[in-house]
Amino acid sequence: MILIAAATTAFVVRRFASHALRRSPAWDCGFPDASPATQYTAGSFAQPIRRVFGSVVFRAREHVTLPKPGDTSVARLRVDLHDTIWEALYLPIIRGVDAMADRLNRLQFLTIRTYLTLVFSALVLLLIIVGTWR
Amino acid sequence: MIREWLTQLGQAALVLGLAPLLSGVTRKIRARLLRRQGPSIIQPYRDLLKLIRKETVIAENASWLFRAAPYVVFGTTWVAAALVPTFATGLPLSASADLIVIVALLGTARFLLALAGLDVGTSFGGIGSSREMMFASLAEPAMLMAVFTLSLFAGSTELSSISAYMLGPHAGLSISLALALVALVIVSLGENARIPVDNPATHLELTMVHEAMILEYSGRHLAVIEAAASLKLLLYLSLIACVFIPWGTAPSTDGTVAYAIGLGAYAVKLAGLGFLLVVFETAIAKMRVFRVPEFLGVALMLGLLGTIMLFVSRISR
Repeated sequence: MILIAAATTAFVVRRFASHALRRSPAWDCGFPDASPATQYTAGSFAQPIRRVFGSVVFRAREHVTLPKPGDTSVARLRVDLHDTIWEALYLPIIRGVDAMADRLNRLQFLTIRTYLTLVFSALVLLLIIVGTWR
Repeated sequence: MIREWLTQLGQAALVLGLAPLLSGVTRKIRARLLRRQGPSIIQPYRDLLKLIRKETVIAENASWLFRAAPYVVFGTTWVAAALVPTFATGLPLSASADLIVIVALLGTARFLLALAGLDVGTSFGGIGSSREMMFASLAEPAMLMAVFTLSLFAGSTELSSISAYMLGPHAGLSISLALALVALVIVSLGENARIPVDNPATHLELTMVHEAMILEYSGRHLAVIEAAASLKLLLYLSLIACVFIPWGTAPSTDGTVAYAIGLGAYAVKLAGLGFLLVVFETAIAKMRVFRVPEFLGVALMLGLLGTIMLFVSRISR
């Protein structure tokens, strides 16, 4: 339906509208040269959302270190942001997988005897399982 | 069967034909309230015709997306507007006239418009798209919350059923319903770039949102986008009319007389809602951009409250 509506519009506009088309430079206000520095980046695009949801969703906290008058050390402003979904959902999974991998990693540095024992005991275990299954 | 489809097509044509008139009427009332003469109410039609006849200027670095987006935006908005029951309910497409579908269609249109705004790479398109997305991140959940409240009442998210329920004997005054109405009104103000959120008549650079996104458009593309914008206003007003003032809407089984009454009632409802909208607009000032999220957040909270209160009262009963 959307296709039909959009195609009808395009057709009607093509049929009845002026066909004159001109390419020209983009409007120059705020676009003096096409350098990447003047353009919107992902960070600048997300800035309003970050600002609106910052204190709630991202748990943003500002830490301001203002030196006393006469103190010549630098003033600092640090903003801490948290990616809530990442920290609540993915980090536990990642930590779990990491811990498991660490434990299992020990299996890679055993002697040939231990491997043979493991293979043999696995075989015995499987045979016992199959035997009791029947 | 054929008659019903003709009615559906008629409705699609009606919303398309009526949308610029609605914009014209609201502009006229607004001008009169400000003690200005104002342009004629058919001025939007003239504007559209003028834009269509004019030469289109496209930026050198614009891609195909920039040229395709207006048509898709218009197509999705038109379909969404044609789905909302205006003068008759129970039309052939009303099975798909689901509120969530309408929200999704409008979301698609918004997404494409934001992409088109970013396409050329000017800072204005970027700022418009970025702000629009910020508003959307609050307005869309608020709209969905209002939808959920309504669907909890009617047991369906289908607009025809909700409208029928509101006409039925079980509907009464309810706090949740009032909260949903207020949420819906706030969302429609935000979505249509009306005054507390955005000024549709301005090109004041630092505050514009919708106008910033479409700044690079001209000629026939701009005409299509303007038509889509007025369709969207009509859509929201019809939505509020269809759900909260459903009287007079004709069921599809009735005859021509019922349709005529439905049409008349629809015109009266639209005019009334348009008048209220303009009075509200002239009474308050535009907000700073970063106060808008609080305004839309109120809508979200109200929608949430409405749903939760309804849920709790249903359970405790």
